[in-house]
Amino acid sequence: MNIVYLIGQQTLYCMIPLLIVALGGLFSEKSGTLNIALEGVMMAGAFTGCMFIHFMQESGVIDGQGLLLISLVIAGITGMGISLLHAVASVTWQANQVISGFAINIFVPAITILLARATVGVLQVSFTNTFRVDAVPILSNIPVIGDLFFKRAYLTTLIGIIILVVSVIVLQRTKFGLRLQAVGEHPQAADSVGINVSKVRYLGIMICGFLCGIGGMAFIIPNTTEYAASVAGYGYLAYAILIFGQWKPKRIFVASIFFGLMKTLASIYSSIPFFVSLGIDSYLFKMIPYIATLLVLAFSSKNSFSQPAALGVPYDKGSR
Amino acid sequence: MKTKSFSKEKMWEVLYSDSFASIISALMTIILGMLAGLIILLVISPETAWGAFTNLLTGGLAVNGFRRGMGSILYYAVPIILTGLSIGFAYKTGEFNIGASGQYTMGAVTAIFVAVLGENVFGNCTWLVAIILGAVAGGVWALVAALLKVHRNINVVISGIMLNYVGIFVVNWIIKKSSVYEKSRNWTAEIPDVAVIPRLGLDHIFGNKPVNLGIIIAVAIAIVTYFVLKKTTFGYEMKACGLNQSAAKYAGINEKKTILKSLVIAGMFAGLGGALYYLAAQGTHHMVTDTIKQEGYTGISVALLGMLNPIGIIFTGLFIAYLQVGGLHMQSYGLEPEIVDVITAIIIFFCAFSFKLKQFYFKILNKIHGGAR
Repeated sequence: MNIVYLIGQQTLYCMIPLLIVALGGLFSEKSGTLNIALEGVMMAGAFTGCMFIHFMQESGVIDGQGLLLISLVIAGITGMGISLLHAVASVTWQANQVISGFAINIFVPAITILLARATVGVLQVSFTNTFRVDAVPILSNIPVIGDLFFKRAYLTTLIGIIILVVSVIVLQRTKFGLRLQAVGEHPQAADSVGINVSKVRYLGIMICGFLCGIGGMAFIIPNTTEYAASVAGYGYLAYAILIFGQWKPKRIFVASIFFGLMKTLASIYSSIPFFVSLGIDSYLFKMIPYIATLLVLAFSSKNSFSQPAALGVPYDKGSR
Repeated sequence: MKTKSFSKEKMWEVLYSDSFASIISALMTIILGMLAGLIILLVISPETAWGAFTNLLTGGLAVNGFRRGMGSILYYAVPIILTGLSIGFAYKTGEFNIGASGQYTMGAVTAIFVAVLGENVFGNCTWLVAIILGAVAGGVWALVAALLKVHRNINVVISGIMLNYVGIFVVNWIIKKSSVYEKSRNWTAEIPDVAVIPRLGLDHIFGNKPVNLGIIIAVAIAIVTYFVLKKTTFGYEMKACGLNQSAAKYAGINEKKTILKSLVIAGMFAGLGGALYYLAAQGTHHMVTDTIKQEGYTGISVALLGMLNPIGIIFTGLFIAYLQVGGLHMQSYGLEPEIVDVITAIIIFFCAFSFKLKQFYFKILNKIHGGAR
């Protein structure tokens, strides 16, 4: 049974950042702006978040869950800041969205290395992990569920679930969410009924930036104790999950569970006697998440891709 | 008097031409990127910023002498020109070949295998067989993504990302199981003499730097690609698919076949790039670590900065290589070579507005000319 709990906990560590970032990408792409910059924005958030934790722990002003919460907000705001570049480029300047997004992905790791060297002195921004909750009071006593979700838990998991629920409600039940989708499907029509296309798209990209920043921290905190100018390709994976989830929040949730589980099996197979007894090479396990995703995509219905119709097309008022 | 006015007319014609405007806007992006890089340097380390910046600009050309510097630039330019062509070529059909890294890795490792194991079989032709099979391996890896795209409608961005990871795991797995693996150093075995790409005396011109046939192949392929895109039916079909797939289909173009062909050719370019880089000189090894090779992503920068034009890609490949060589000497100023990536990123960012920059250029031109032409 312990193995099941271990898999469950590890899967959460893996899927929550993917979920948060993919949902962020959803807000941007639903409004019609391609956002390949998820990776870079995640890194920006992870960098400032880790910097804040690093210096706060050093000075001993604050620690624990409070520090984590503030650092998440800081990460989110940083994500918004860097996303602003993408927003200005793709909405105001009608630039090529693939290019400007990709530029951010090269820019952020490089600039964070320079800034880390200039402030901390080394490339790695390290901190002490004081954020794990070994057992949530009361809830961890529930059989099975308590062991799965409320032991060795992180605040980020809860936040990820909240983001999911709020995203579903916002996108499908609020005026803003419906406008966001309208702008991504047919901006001309949306404009003609008085929706400010640029404003909605800006908001979509900003929400995306905030979530990606948080997602960067949600990746770092449970999985490592330093930021070393990398989020291990999670931004690209989240982008894949966004497409895999066909731009639908619930499907994205399922896709991130699937991918998180596969990645967990790949990383901890050696502590599961059954897998070891199969005598399969470790590289095969490493490949599983990626091959499985491709296979699932290949066998799921081929015509069901529901990409927003105006995705990647800058809105030109003259084309109305 | 008459001839003078004629040549003036000619001059305006050139100044107003689209290709000249493209070059000007590319130069503007480079200058803007450089300026932004300088500002960042001044913020991060004010004392050494000027020294570091001039070093970056003169690059290896001043530090190691012009000839050796040029040699390094050409050496680093070969793989990124080819990955740049790979991305630029596929982009013409509207596909973003982010999987170039995987194709590059496949090409590189296949070439190393042929080089190390095929020495006795292929003799003096080992290098040729190795680079051809390297290109084929890149093409095969791209074929996977292409088939998934054409038959299962899977976005090549997502399959490319997945295949980049699968690719690095596959090659490392095979290497570790084979005699090509050098366990003590965790890299691939040394390639034999006969597998090194012929130097043709170029290394003497460039101060013993590993400059060889590779750069000639890369430039030749870029030129051929240019003509294929511009003058052949296939090139026309590719561009038609890139502009509007449905329209291309209704015009009688087999859009699936076109996409398949263009992606496989793009994969072959990337694979060839990997092969040429790893066979350029002895002492080049593939490290058996699970990191995705950067040349594929650098190729994206090269292609975008070159405005997806094969001839432009030759120059931007050389330019990025020039910055990279300059960046190698950054450490002496206590700065990380990553400043090069910062500048590249900013340049690419401005590339996204090349259309707006062209408009801006024409606006200024109109002012000088005194009214629109």
